[in-house]
Amino acid sequence: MKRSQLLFFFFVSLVSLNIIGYQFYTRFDITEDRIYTLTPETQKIISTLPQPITVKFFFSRSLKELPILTKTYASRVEGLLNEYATRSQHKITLEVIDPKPDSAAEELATQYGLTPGHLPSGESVFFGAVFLRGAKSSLIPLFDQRNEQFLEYEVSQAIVKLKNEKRIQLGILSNLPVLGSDTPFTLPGVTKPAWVFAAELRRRFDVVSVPSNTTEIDKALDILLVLHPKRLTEKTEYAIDQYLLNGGKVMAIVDPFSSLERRQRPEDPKYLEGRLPNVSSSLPNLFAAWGIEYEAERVIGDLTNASQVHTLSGVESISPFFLALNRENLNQNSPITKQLNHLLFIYSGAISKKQDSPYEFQPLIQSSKDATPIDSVLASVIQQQELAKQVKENGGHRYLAGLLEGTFETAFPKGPKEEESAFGGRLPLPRPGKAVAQKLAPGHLAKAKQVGRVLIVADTDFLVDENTSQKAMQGEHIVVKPINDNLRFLMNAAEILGGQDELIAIRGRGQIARPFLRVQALQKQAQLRWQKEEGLLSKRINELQTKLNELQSQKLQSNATALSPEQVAEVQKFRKEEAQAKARLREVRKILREDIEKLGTQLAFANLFFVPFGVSVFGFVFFRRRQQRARRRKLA
Amino acid sequence: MSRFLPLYKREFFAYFRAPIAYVFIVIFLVASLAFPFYLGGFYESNTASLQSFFSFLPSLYLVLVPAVGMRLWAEERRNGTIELLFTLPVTTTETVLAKFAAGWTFLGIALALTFPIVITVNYLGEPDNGVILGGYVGSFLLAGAYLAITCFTSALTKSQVVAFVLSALAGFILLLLGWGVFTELLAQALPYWLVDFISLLGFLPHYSPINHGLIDSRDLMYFISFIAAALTLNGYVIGKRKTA
Repeated sequence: MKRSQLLFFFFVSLVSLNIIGYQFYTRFDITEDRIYTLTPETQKIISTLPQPITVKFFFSRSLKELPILTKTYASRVEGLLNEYATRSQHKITLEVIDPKPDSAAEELATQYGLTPGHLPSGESVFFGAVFLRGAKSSLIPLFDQRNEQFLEYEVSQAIVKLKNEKRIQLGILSNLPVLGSDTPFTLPGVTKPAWVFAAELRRRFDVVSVPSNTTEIDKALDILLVLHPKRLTEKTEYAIDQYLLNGGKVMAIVDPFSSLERRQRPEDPKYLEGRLPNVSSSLPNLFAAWGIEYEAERVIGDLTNASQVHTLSGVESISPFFLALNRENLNQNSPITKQLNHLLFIYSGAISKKQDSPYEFQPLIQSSKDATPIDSVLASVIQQQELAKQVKENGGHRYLAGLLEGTFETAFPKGPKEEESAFGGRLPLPRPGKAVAQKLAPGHLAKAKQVGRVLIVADTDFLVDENTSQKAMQGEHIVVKPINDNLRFLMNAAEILGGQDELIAIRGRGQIARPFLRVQALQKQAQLRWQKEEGLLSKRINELQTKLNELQSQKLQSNATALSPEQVAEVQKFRKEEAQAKARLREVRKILREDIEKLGTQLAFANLFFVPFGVSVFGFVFFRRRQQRARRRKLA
Repeated sequence: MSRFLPLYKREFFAYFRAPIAYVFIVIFLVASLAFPFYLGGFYESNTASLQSFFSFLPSLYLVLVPAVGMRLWAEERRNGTIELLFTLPVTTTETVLAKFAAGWTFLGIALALTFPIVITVNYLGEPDNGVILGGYVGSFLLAGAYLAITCFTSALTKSQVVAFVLSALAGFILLLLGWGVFTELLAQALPYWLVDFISLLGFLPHYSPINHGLIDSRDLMYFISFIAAALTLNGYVIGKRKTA
């Protein structure tokens, strides 16, 4: 029949249309974060490429057991890479390659350095990209779907690496094994991996390690990152000072209380002597010369930015020393911080600029107004919950990080002092009475010739792996996913200082998570209430305990063999009160959770009830009216 | 096309004359809102997104949309009013489109009445409302696709129940085609490009990107083509009855 033929043709043409449409398509990104469109910053990067770039996208499309989620993600990645190519005005060409097993393409992929993922069946999946510009190349070894929101950043970063003629040289001066350790104390062949932030730095810059007792810093370094400097010799501080004056950029990350160090030194002999090891760091001479006030023995407790901590016993509590910082704590005028959303600082200190300092200080991160500095020694010995009680409201804002700028003058006008030798005796000093002309090395600068910049951060724990990212195993690989913007903060700062800040806006895209803010606010409120109650109840229990003990000792002193009836009654009364107080404590804990659950139930009820109820009522009314109209018509 | 409008209105208001429409809306609302809260862990997830809401819709539509569309043609055939319809000076195309559009509008209204959950999620946190809008667009298109199948099956039979069953079955197959576990099974036996093609015939690979805020012309084309194909079959069957 002619009609069925028409029908057949119609279907064939529909299918063909769709197949053709697969080659020529457009996409509309309606997300708020625009996670599927190229940012204007990426646009700028790819339209100002000096030389053409070839992108080879390797994906084992034809593998049999490929999960569908990976396939769809791969098509999204290809779509994005296509976007790059189309909008680059022919500067970027995209090649899509399927490296089948035992093919030349597979060898090529391995040569380039792509790391294959593994399916449960054991087969290798290639899912990465190589970016080539002449003889230079940069690499994304494996695309991880869990980091989809950072996809554009990864790709733009790979391109920027190729684009810039010179890579920023960054030196790290620290005693912490951030670049991975291969120390004589570990078994040969056992290497500890570099910290996540260091690995991230390595991807973007050329990173070298600077010994912490160095007396001179290579001028070829663009940035010097000083991390947790503990009692540096004056000679080392002097080296940093001169490096700064010679045009180097410094990132000084210090800490009044490194919880990392604190946890790692239980076998420290000082503990055994009854003394607490010092887990703080500072640059005393430099800070003094720069007019920076920093108390190396005080940590900041902040009630408003307190965040949840999982203690060893599995109990969750809120600590005002674990600072969850949000946009309102970040300087919205600085490109370093204005696109960040969440930072986590732990046992942080505070910095400020003295009135008479000639330099400019731009605060980057500040606490809420409910911040109080607490003695860090107490933080070592007292239970966290006790310590938290000392934090007061309305203690005032404190700055946790900032940028210092100006034409710096040396902190050592007479040069660095000689230090005590390791054996505790002083090196031979010139005879008293004779003035010593301290010889300054040639090339000593008393004042910088250009404006210098120093980033100062008063916490080091924010860079510790567990506070920046989450690690998960994907087959044989460890995949790292950031849990907040700590890493971004560091990278942004390094790029701004190093003068290659094209990636900052792209890095800022894609919020990490969108939590239920209202629930979090409830939790915080509840926690504060609970802490108050718990404080009172604990005090009461302690009082009762003391009284009981007093009674006991009275009994001993009076040499009585038994308690008098009055005493027995008292003891019973105390015991009863104690039990009541403890029960009340448990109840208060329960109430904590109930408020939050109540909100959930109320919302579920509201959702499930109102509109369906409205519809039912509407329907009911509608039908009644129809019935009435029909009845009226019958009667008429 | 001026005859389309009165036809459309007739079909649309016909929905509201039967109590079944209200029952359907209430069931749909309660189910679509209960699933995320009690099965999908919406509140516990502490994430300001409606993914848990949208992820249940394909399965929910599978059962509920045929209930909406099954009466469209089957009822007329059973009552005999279809002959009346044929005597009217309207083309098959107009009738097919009018019935489909009426059903689709009805489903759209039911979908729009889920607005309390959008308010809820905005009250609890700061969701990406662009993604949520995408979810609604995708869900509306998906509902249309299911409905188009039902229109076709409804035209095949006098029994609404048969129409319902056939439609649900077809919907189930189309849902399955895009489902990961199933495609992996297929991949054992068939070449990869064929498996890819087959899975792209299914709903989910096209529903999912729109759900995440990415409106791809290919996915739009898929839904439009699918609806066009199903309605064309619908018209074909009706046309045969007319001339028979």
